[in-house]
Amino acid sequence: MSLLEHTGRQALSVDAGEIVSVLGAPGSGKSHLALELAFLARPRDGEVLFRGANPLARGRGRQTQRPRQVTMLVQNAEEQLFARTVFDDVAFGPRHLLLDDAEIERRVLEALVAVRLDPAVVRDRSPFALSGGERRRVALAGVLAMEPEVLILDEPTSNLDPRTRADFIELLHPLRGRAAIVWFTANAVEASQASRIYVLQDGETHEVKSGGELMHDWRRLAAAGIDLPAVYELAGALERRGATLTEAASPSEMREAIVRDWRVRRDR
Amino acid sequence: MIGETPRLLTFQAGDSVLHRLDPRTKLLATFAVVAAALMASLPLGMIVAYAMGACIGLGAVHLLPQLWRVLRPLLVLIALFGVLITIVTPGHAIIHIAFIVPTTDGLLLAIRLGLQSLLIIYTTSLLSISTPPLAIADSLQWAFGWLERVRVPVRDVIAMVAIGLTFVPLLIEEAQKVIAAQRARGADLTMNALLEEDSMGALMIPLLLANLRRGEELAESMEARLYNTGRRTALHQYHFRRIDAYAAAIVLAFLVAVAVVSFVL
Repeated sequence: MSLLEHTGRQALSVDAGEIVSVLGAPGSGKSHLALELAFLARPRDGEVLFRGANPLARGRGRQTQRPRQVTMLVQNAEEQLFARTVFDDVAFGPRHLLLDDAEIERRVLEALVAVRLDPAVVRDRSPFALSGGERRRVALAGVLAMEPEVLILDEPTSNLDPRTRADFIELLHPLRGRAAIVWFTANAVEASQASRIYVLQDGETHEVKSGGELMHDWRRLAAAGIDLPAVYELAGALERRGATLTEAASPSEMREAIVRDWRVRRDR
Repeated sequence: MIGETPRLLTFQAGDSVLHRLDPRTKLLATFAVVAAALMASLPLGMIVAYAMGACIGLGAVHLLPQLWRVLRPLLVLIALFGVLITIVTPGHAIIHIAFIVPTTDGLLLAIRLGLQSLLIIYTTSLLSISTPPLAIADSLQWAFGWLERVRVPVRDVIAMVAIGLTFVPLLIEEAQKVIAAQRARGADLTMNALLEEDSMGALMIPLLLANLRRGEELAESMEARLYNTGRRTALHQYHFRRIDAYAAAIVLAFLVAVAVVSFVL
């Protein structure tokens, strides 16, 4: 039994301590699937199960409630900040759990440290006084302060500049121990960091090989409209012009394959 | 949760008689129905006024089920107000139930107001479902443009109204996004919780910020394309056609009938 599981055409599952990524082109329905997994939207088909049960299924005389252990960082989450201070904003979720003040404070400070913001510096500042990247971290802290068992990330690095993006991805790895993570992205390099990878295309998910192996499927990924490093675009363009490249997976192997092909043609 | 009603009331493309009419015709017809509803006598005038509404509804029968979903919750509200009006209006008592005294005058007033508001909401909803917001704005300008001569900034007001109307669906989407986002981090944004100050801020501040941002972007992009408030020409010119003449004749006939039935008979 998985921790969180989708049983529809967009089947996927995640277990404790796992980072699973869902790779899909823009417009492939990533955000809706993310909402479904977070119990914030009704699944188009199938069910979403948390610990093997659907918490939204109506039992007799029982009020349904979405499980608080599943949280989600929405796309461009920094736009949802609203409180007067960073502390209050991060404390928004925990306060709804009706925890006592000391516990709220502990969670907020821990969450801020986890996103590498110095609580002493930022806690009493307005979230609107921070930079875009910092605000996104505050938003992540707000989700982490819920101490979730499952964390759903909907394109957590969208609209960040390359350096902020790299910094933000570094934050995510240590989180593996805290919560199971489902990471939605359109970027193959980001996805390849997960322990398991699903590709979302035409409303269906398919599990694909993970890690360095992912790029073996680069033709299929390119066809699904997924962001690949530039060298694969070059390879695709060459193949359309009739080049026959040897099988290659990693970007560096691909680079070599292209050079090898070019040499063969030149010497001919 | 939020937004079913406004979404049902936004424009939907189609090919019904109502869709084919000139927006100005529809605007005038709407005014005519409002006038008819306000002057209709009970019960005959009101019957004719409702026949007028039904006749307009025939122009877009496929929209009516959707309209019913808008009107149904309003019926409850109208009924509640009706009961209230019946009780608080002084007049000839129907019955005494302890200190609650419904009166015949109150009952008649309640029926009249209820029927009037229902007819007016029904007709204006039909207008807004079958007409693009910009076309409504254009026809408002056509109808009230003469006020410019007495220095009423009709164009500017209407441009604002048109932009506002255009962005309603986006605002709904935005609100739903914010609600989902705050729920995703543990907030309990049900209607009750929304009334708490804390949760209200969680919804309103991100929404307000998004709207300010959007407003600024829109203003910049309009200025970049040399929008100014002087005299403007229109991309789409409207032309009255034969179908508009028929529609106008029918509406006018009904209006006269309501007047005759209400004031003469």
